[in-house]
Amino acid sequence: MRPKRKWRSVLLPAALMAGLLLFLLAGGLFFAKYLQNQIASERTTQLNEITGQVQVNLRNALDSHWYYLTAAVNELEGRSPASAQDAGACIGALERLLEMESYDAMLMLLDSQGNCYDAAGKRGVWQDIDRISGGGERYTFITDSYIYQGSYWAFVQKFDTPLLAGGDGTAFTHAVLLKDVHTMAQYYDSASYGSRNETYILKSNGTRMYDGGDEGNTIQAYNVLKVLEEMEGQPYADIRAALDGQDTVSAGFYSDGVEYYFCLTFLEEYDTLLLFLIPAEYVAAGTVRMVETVIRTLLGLAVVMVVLLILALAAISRQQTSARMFRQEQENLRRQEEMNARLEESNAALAQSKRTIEQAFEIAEGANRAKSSFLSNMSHDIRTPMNAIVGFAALLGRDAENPDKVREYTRKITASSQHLLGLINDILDISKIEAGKTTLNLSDENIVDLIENIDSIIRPQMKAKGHSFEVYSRDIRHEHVVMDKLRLNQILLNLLSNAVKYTPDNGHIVFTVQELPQHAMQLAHFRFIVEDDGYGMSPEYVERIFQAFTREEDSVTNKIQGTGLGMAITKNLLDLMGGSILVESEKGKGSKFTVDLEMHVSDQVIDQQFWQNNGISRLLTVDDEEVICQNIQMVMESAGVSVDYATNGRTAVEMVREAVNEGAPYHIVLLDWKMPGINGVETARLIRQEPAQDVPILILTSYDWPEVEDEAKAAGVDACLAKPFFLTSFRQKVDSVLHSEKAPEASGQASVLEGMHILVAEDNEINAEILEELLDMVGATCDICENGQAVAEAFAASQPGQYRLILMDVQMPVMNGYDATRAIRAMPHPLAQTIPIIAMTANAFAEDIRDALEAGMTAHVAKPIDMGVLEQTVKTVLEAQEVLPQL
Amino acid sequence: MKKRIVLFALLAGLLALPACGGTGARETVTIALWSDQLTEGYAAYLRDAFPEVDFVFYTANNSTDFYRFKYEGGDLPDILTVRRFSLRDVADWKDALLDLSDTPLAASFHSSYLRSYTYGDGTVNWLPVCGEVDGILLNKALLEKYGIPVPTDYNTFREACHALTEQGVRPFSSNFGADYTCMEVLQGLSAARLSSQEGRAWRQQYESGQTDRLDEDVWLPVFERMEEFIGLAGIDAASLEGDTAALFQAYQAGEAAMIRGTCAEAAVYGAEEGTVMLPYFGETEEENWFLTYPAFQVAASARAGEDPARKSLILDILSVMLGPEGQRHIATGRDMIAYNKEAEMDLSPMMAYMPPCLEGNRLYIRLASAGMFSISRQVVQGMITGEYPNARAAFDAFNAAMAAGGTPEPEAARLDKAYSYAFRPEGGSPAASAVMNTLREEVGARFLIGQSVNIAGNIRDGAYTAAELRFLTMGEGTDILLCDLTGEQLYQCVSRLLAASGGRGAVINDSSLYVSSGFEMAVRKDGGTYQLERLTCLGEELDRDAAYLVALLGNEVAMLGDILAAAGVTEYEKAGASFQELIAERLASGGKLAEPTDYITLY
Repeated sequence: MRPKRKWRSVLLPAALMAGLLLFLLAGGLFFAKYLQNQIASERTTQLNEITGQVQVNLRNALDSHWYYLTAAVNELEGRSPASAQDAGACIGALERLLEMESYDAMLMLLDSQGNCYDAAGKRGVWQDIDRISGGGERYTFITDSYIYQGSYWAFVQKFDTPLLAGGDGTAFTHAVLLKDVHTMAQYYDSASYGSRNETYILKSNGTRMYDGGDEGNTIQAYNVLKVLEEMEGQPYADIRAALDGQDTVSAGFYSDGVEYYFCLTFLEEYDTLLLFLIPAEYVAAGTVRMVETVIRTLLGLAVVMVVLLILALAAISRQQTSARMFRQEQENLRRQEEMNARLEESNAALAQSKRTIEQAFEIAEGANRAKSSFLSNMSHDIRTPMNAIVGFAALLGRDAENPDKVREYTRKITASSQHLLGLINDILDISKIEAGKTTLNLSDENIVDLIENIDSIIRPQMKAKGHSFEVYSRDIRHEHVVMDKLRLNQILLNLLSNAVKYTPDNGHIVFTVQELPQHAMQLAHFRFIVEDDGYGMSPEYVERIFQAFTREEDSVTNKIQGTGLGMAITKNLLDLMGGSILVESEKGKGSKFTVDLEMHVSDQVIDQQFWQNNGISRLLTVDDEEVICQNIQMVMESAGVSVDYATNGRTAVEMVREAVNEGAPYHIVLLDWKMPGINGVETARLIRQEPAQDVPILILTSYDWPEVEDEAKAAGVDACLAKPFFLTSFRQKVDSVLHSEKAPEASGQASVLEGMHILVAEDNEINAEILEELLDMVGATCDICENGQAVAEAFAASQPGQYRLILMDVQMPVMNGYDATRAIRAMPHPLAQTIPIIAMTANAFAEDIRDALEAGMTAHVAKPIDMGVLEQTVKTVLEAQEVLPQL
Repeated sequence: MKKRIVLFALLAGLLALPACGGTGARETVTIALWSDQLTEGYAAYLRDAFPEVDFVFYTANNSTDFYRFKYEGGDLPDILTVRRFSLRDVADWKDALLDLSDTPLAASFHSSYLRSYTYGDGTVNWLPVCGEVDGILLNKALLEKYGIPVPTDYNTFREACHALTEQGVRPFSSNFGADYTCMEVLQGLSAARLSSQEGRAWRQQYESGQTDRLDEDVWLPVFERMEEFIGLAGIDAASLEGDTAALFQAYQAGEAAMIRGTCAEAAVYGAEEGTVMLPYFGETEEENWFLTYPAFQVAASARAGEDPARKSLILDILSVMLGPEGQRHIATGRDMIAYNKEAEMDLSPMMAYMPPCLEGNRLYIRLASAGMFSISRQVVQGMITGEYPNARAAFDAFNAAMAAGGTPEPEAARLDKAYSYAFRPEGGSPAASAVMNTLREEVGARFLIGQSVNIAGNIRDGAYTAAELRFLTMGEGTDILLCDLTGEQLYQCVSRLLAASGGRGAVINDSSLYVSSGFEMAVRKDGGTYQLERLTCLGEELDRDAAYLVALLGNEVAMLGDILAAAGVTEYEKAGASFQELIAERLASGGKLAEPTDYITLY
């Protein structure tokens, strides 16, 4: 841009200058041409006038001489000379009489032999005698007389009758008057030109009439007119022809670079051309001077204009340059300031960096100290369970015969082992997260399943410590979202586990799941709140709670087993997911962890037509907490079901009755279990006593269903629904009630593995033996294969139903677990596609789980084998298979 | 900086050179010399004045008819010179000539002279070189010997004639075989009458074509004077036969007291000593007139005007030809009347009687139309022979001849081939060789040698009249001398001819080299001189001891006599017929020109 602007800034003035100069040039040329024409016209006009005047003068002069000659002839005819000798005296007397000397004239007589006679007597044959031999009476010409030396106008008059001299018979035929040419010059030299004019007296053919008088003349040639015709710039090819019918002809020409003007006139009666020639500078000199003055003035004005324009342009240019320089300086200043600012920023950044580095250094030092501390703690923490394991193992050998001791020791060994395993898992997890190798394993999931899973895991721990545990869901509009279920599970379990651990027994813990207003259509905004009334934390520790390897040193919490890595893992995972976590805590009052997380809404289509298809359009919910009722109302109305709610049982009964009476009975009644007044079971019983006793009644409870199941069913409750209320869970439960598919409620005593025959791949004999024994403990049997290939072959050789599932180690010789799974899935065996294959491996990271699933496995269980986990996993797998249509 | 300027100046100078000097190529300029007497010095003067020009010279005659012939054949030379001139004779082809009226050359002339050369439209083609003065050469010593006073007017002239006759001395003799003698004596004796206002009036009418008849008032007295003069001077039929040289010999021998002529002629024939020039006498001294005419007029072909550079060169050459220095190379260079402002008169003692006529402006310019020459010869010779017994008869005959006018001549011959006059170093001039070979055949000589300038330029093919046949060959006083020469003598003659300078027939340049017929010449050119290397006959070395009949063409008095004498040859025979007659008659009789041969090798 700058070069263009620069060009524009140069081109515009240049174009203006060029335009002005062109205008001045063209105008000047036109004006000069015009003036030249005017001057030429003025000159020719003036020259014509003057030449005309000269012509008249000369003609008058010539005529006057003719008068003299005529007078002389008359006189001579009266006094004829007595003899040739007497002729001189006669002529002399006549000259005196006519006072010819006064005007430089003289008289001659010519005799018949051509001799001439003047006052001095006979002077020989007149040289111009040929010129008067044409038979004419009068001749006028100029002669170069060698008798008198010089050029003379000759006026020759023939006597009518020759004058005969009385004595010798000499016959005088002509009288001649000679007039010195130079004395005639006064008649044709124009004073107007300061006698700078050249006068040529020519014969009618253009040739010079006489020799003298042309010294220094411009045209020296004999044929003057022809030379004039050949002069540069002379417009007439034939000047005589141009003169024909005109008094004068005039024009300009150049000779040796000098401009001249000529004017030609013809004295016809004298057969003489009078050529008037003068350098142009003297013709119309006043006019020319005036014009030149005008031109000079205009030229001066033009120069002044140009100079002023140049100055103006220069000023503008300078101004522009100054402005440009000013802008440039401003720009430079701005840049300098920017540079300074950047420098300051850089300095600030450097300072910040320095501070950051110092902080980092401090942090590193802190981390180092933390690690040292951690290692110290770990040393303590690892050695403690290991000490317990080793110690109790030793005691086990000693007291092997005492069954109570053995049970006691093995229980403690198991507890210590579990702790040690958790410790190891966390260490590995945090190291992986910090190494940046953690990736999210996203999939379409149901938030309800997540909550239920967490509830199922954490609730036993809550119960073990006597905590009351409440789970709330609010405004859940998107149950199906895209998430890394395992990681989110890990986060929430971490928070809940901490709540369990750091809350004194019989504490109160609330877990709330709430969907906040969306920031974007595709993103569901969830908030998870874990709130306890436990020990709480000091503000100092809250600031660094997410730093790894930190634990609040506290006399109370030190007794609680922990790695100090849980919160660091939680924070890192949330960062990975784009979520945030807020910690509010007060020492001695408890803590509140708020997790905000946005997750993509799943594309999975929910069957919104379920309720309509099953004729369910009215629902009555009853809960003493109106918020819960309103939540249910909001969710259900979005599904097309109108919801009435009541905050106590009796009102509910009334509403059921009225609905029936009004002919618009409720299609489902959802009752909270624990309510002031009559509880949910009692309310159900009362409803069943009403005419519309066949309406499905479900109990919504936060408590273990088995505790009240018998009583509830006896009261007419069709099913129990765990709090919080989720549409999916509710829909599934209603569906099962409507279709009378009463799912067998799992017994808390019986293992899901009981009676199963399982195919196991395990290359480690000890692990294989342990697993076999553990399975045996829960009533299951297994076939052990030492590698993947063996397991694949065993499955291939099995009868459909021979194995209920396959537990697959991953790292094995010959064929690893992934390949073996792919081989099995690829088999033509009827159950090759459906038989659950559960990874059972020490590779316990999320990536490992993902790899296992991608290989075709159904689920993943980390080693060492925790039978509880295994049972739960198997249970989940099997339940999923039951729900899926294809199963 | 200075170096740059010098280099620039050098470069500019180099670039300007071609502009100044044309392309640098030598220019060729053809000049027709009205007489071979101009080969004596005038042509050499021009050669030396223009060393950068290759002149081609050939001889013309003294008539403008020759140039009309050349003009009609499209072969006008670049520069023309002619002795006899009348504006009337050349008016109809004036546009073939360069107009000089606007040149400084014309401006250098007195306008009173130029008037005679100016056409009505102002054109001037011809300019006169100095005027020769023609009068009566008188052997003053002879008169003194007999105590006869020098005549001062016609009466004293008459008395002197009687006295001389009584002494047995022919009072006056002249070559009345020559037309110019007849015409000049006729006009000269009546110069006063012809210069009277009556005479001038008639002349003006004649020259302007208004009349073709002699005015009786003017001219009858002229013939009366001539009639008287013939008787007074004892002119008889023998005067028609003698040649000029013989007449001068007789004059010098005292056989005749007076002879018509010029001072130049007196000088050429060695008669200066004791000679004075008298005017043509009138009744009184104040009516004595000298007769004058330009030595010759010059003109240029209009072709010169087509190229400014060429025109400039031609004008330069004309200027030199007309200038005072050129005047000095004409005849003796003295006793000429200058027409040019720059020239001054240089009069010899022979012209002692000239000043009174000059002062009285009594210089009669002869009426020199071509017709006037021929008719004057016819009538004057008739008066001498008695054909016209009196003035009236002569006057009537003159008028009758003038009235007869020029009837077109019939075709006399036709040439089948044209021959170029251009000289080639390997072979010479084809035109000259053809004429010389023809002439050798005509004279029957074994060998012939003559100068190329006697061939009047290119020979065209086509028809010729009898008069035109005489235009092929030119020369004034050109003789054919026949003699027996040994090879050695021939060698010496040729060598001397080539080396001769100043004489009539001197070699001026290549174009004027001698032409051999019957033998070949090998000539070496060394600067401006020519040296004979050897002579061959049909390629064989010429036998120096053998005798050959050789014909030499040239002026016996002015050149060949001395050449032969130097070679030890005293006996030779002069051919009866003239060179021109032999060629013209052969062609007129149906003969052809002999084939040209390569006669010269010029190294």
